[in-house]
Amino acid sequence: MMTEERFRILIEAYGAAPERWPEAERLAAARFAATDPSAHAILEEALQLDGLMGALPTPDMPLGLIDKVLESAAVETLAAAAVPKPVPAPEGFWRNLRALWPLAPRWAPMSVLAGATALGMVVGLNLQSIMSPEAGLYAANEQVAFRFPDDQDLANLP
Amino acid sequence: MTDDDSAGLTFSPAIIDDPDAELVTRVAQGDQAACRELVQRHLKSTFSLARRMLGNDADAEDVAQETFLRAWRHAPRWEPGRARFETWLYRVTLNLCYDRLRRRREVTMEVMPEVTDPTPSVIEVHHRRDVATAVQGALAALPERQRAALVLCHYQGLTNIQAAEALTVSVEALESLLARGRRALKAALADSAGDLLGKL
Repeated sequence: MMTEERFRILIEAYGAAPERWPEAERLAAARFAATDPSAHAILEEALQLDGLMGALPTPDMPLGLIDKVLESAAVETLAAAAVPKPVPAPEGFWRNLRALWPLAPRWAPMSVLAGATALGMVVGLNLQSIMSPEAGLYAANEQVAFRFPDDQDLANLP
Repeated sequence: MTDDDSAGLTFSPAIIDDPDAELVTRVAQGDQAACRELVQRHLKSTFSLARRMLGNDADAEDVAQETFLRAWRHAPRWEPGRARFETWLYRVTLNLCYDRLRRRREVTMEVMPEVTDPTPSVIEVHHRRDVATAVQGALAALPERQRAALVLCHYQGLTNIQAAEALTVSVEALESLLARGRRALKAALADSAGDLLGKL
């Protein structure tokens, strides 16, 4: 719904020519202009300035400007394109990693990967004693052999 | 490189349909046909914006060249969908114009301490060309951002949304700049408006 207040703001900002009015309000403003008695005076005021502003011609582009700009394009873009791109392997690695867990932030699959690695190391180190109890026993004996004697050990001496 | 070059990064994060996106990608690969196409699409409007902001051909030509130089250098880092390339161009052009106007003000203050009348010959004008000179003079006397808003919307034909993005303001702020600019322009030309209109 176009009000007189909004219509005045529009005309004071954009002038009297409908093609310069905001597209979203153009139709409503045009209806208001055609039907509301207050619209004529508001438009008349803006038309004078529009007429003066319209006297400013479109500037002519200087001769040779296009060539100068294209010369700079050849120098800059060809040089930039000749620079070798960074190795894409790490990006591929992160993309593959991210593909495993697309909705989580990047640190989430990294954390899982780090956790799995740590767990693997713990399990790997203890695997020997799990699979071979004797080996665990030997390891325990080695620890006993290399520890310092405590009070109980000394009390048991003959 | 300056902040101007990353101007596009501050736009709304919404994906924007950009008719220049494919061209810019090709420019980044050194495709000279794409460079030519981009120049054909935008050089004239870039030059016109600079010419209307600065008031003379030589400065406007320098700004247009510098704007495109930055475009070539920025192309490999361009992120399609974040901003329209055209709006980025307008923003860089405006920032370069502001720099020149600032430098010009500093020089003017050193050499000419008195403030000169921007429209000294308004009363004497008798032809359409002189009307244009009067309007250009009144436009040049406006504060930079009011002038930029008027040039973008009235002369360059940008929509209110595009102009607001180029100026990094809201649409409401743009409308305020436009209204104040038009009021100041009208006041500057008020004494001779009747005469000037009669000569159009």
